[in-house]
Amino acid sequence: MARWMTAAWALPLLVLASSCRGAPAVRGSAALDASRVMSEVRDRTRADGDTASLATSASSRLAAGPLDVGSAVEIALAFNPTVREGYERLGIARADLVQAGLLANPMLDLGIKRFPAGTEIEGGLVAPVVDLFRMPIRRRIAASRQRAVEAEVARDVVGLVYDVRRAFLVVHEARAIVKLRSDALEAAKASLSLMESLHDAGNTLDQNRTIEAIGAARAALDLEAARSDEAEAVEDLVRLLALEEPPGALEIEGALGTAPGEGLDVADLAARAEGASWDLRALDAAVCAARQDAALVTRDRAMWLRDAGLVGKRDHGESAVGVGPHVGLELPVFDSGRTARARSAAVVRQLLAQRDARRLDVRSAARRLEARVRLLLDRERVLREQYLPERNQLVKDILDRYSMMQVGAFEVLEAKGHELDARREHVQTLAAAWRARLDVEELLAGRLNDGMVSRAGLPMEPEHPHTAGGH
Amino acid sequence: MGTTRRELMGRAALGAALVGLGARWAHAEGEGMEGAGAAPKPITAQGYRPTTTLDGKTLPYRMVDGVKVFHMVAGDVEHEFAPGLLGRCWGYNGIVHGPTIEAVEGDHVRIYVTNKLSAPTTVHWHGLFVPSGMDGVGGLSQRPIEPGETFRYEFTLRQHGTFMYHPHHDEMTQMALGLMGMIVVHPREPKGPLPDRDYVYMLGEWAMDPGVWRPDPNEMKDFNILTLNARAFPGTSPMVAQLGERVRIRIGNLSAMDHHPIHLHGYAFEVIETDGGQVPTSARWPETTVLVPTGSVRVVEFIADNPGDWAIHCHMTHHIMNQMGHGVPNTAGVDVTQFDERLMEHVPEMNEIMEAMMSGDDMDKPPPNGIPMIGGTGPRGYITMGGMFTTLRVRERLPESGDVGWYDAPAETQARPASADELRTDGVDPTSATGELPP
Repeated sequence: MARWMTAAWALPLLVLASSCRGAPAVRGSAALDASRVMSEVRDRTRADGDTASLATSASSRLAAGPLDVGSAVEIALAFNPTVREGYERLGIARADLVQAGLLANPMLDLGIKRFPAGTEIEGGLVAPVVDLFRMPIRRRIAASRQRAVEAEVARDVVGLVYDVRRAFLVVHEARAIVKLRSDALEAAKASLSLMESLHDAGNTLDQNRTIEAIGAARAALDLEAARSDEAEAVEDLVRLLALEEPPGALEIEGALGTAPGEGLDVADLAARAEGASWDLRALDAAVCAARQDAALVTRDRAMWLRDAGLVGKRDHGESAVGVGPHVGLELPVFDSGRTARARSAAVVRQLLAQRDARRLDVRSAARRLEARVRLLLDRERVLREQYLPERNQLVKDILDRYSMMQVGAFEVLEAKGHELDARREHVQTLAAAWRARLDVEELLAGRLNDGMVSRAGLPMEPEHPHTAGGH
Repeated sequence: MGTTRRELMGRAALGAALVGLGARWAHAEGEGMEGAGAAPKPITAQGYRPTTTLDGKTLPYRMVDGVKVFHMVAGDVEHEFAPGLLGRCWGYNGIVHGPTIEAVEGDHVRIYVTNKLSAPTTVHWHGLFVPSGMDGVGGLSQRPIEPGETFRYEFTLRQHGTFMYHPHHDEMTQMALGLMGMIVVHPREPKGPLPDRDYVYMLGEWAMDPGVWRPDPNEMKDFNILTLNARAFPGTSPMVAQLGERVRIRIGNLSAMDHHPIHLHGYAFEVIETDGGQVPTSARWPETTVLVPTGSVRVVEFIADNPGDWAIHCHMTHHIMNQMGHGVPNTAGVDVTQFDERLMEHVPEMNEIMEAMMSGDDMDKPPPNGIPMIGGTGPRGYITMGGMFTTLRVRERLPESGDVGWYDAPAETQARPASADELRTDGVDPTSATGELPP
């Protein structure tokens, strides 16, 4: 009765298992799988380069001249250990698939026992018959797991491509900030120098000189911090490019682009992101494998026959050899298999829950990114078209007042300092808009990164306690 | 020290630009503003010498049944403080300040006041002995004159002297925008000789930064346009007198917060009158500077017996500056060229401005409505004065055209560089830091 119940319970799992996508035709080598994965990654990430044309090391490529973002991606794809590690995972999955298609070897037993009356010889050739029945499911499981690995590797490679693009962007941003901080320091030093000339002439308070000195020191600290950020940004890129000995000064081409929204299509982003997700594809494959694994467990429990073969024996004192068939049966006395079946079913449900969670993450990230990219694009436009021109106009207005001797040079420099702050905010906002765009592209290329599901603050112009004003 | 930025930008470029731009603006004030004539004004049938309100006017009247009838209209006026500096002010009869009311002791006057302002107003006859109901204090003496209304003031002039008029309703705002004027009541029976020249001045102060078009009534301390009859040098007209003439100068002060010590070069004068009445002859003493407190009038008189061009100005030095920025750092004793150089280095817009000024491109920009802090061109260089400054030009004989020009001092009376021979003869060592002379 229990056996029938087990069989009835297992049937739906078998049906589910059979509904999973079939295993791809077995091909000759893991390299082909990697090629297929890389081809799809390239299609999705538009990383259209030829790694074969690269020199034997990233350093030699870098020596050829300033690095553009496309070359950086190609170097990373060629040399970053993440890609190599991915290839190996594909190879392992491929080997697992082949292994799953092989029957277990038969066992030859031979026993010799000596008695006073003679020698008893016993032998047998036994094959694990159950393997004949398990192999097709096992192959499907391995194929599903291979698909999962392919998806995971593709996801990681997509991540690498966008990590490189982000790192490239961050270096551009950091260098722009260093330039602005440097300008701010020069202006602060000029302000200090002018205040010192007034102070030396006995025209102003110690306090005013001190305030300008504080402003200059603050600007120097800010510049050092910006340089540190730049160094960290460069190091991030160097690591992604797998450079063991980074060049003295990494030369990179271009600057922050000015149109982060150009050609960006965020329509129906959630559905498109869900359809593209490598994580969901990997989890689909894992669910498939788990369901087939559950079917295998059920089948194992439905079949008591474990192995079969021929056995022969010559008893001592006998000259004839007795030959006959052998079967091995599992007796479900202590383990009826119910626990194993329950576990397999739980694994399936666990994976389905993980898939649901990931699906929610992807859709949430799509909504968040759509809102973020719209906000940042709008904010960048307002900064560029309204805020920065007005900040600049204020400098000119104050210069006019300086020309009419209504204000001193310190007010002009202070206004310039505010304008530099505004330009820094614009650079940071522009970079944030580019990052948001890259996130959208990455999501549509199938990878969800941690930043897409967490809150991101907006770059804001800081307070600017800059100058004593000189009076 | 080299050329200062003020000289470079304030004088040459800004001044030139603003004079040009100012000329493009129609002067909203009417024609016929007074200058000093060549000859003294003839004595009237009532026996007084009419006054001259330089850069202003005298209010006309008509006689109706023995009453002198005047009409004052309060309204918006676009006023020119000096070429290139306009203000959206309030005035009477289209000018700022209002025209001088001139009458004779004992006259019965009827003054209609039409309010074409956007706010209620009144007129207070400052210093005149009028019936209480005619005193013009809003809410106390009368209800305010609403926009569009015309009020009638009528009284007999029971005294003679120099007085003022101004609103006494929201006067902080209305006076800050220009609503005020002078009143001269000539004695019915003059006791002394009549003046040959009788000038009337109203002292005023305004707050209007360059680029701003309306005086700021909220300002309490930082006034930056100081005026004689609502004009700031170089926009002030000169007084003239012929050698030996008796000159009377009536000075009223309705500045919001300041008194003004008015100093005349080349002369000593006597204060003969305040708005409280005549100063007895025995109580007068010679002065070269008369302090005119706000809300007061001082009348000084002297004989113009010293030919030349003589400055007359408020002796508060910030009151002889135009649109002075009082928040600028003290750069005295400092090489200020480094300020411009540093700005040109770190503020690229500075170069644009300088290039535009050099090329003259900024002439097409809208006028910033500002004038140089100091002065105008004089016969011997730049006159580094502004604001409450003008000249008294005394000549042996005045040309009939009335244009006296600049004084051509006899060579022996003209200051000039000392020659080496002169220094040597007199034992003057120009390299000395202490100025010691040999025994």
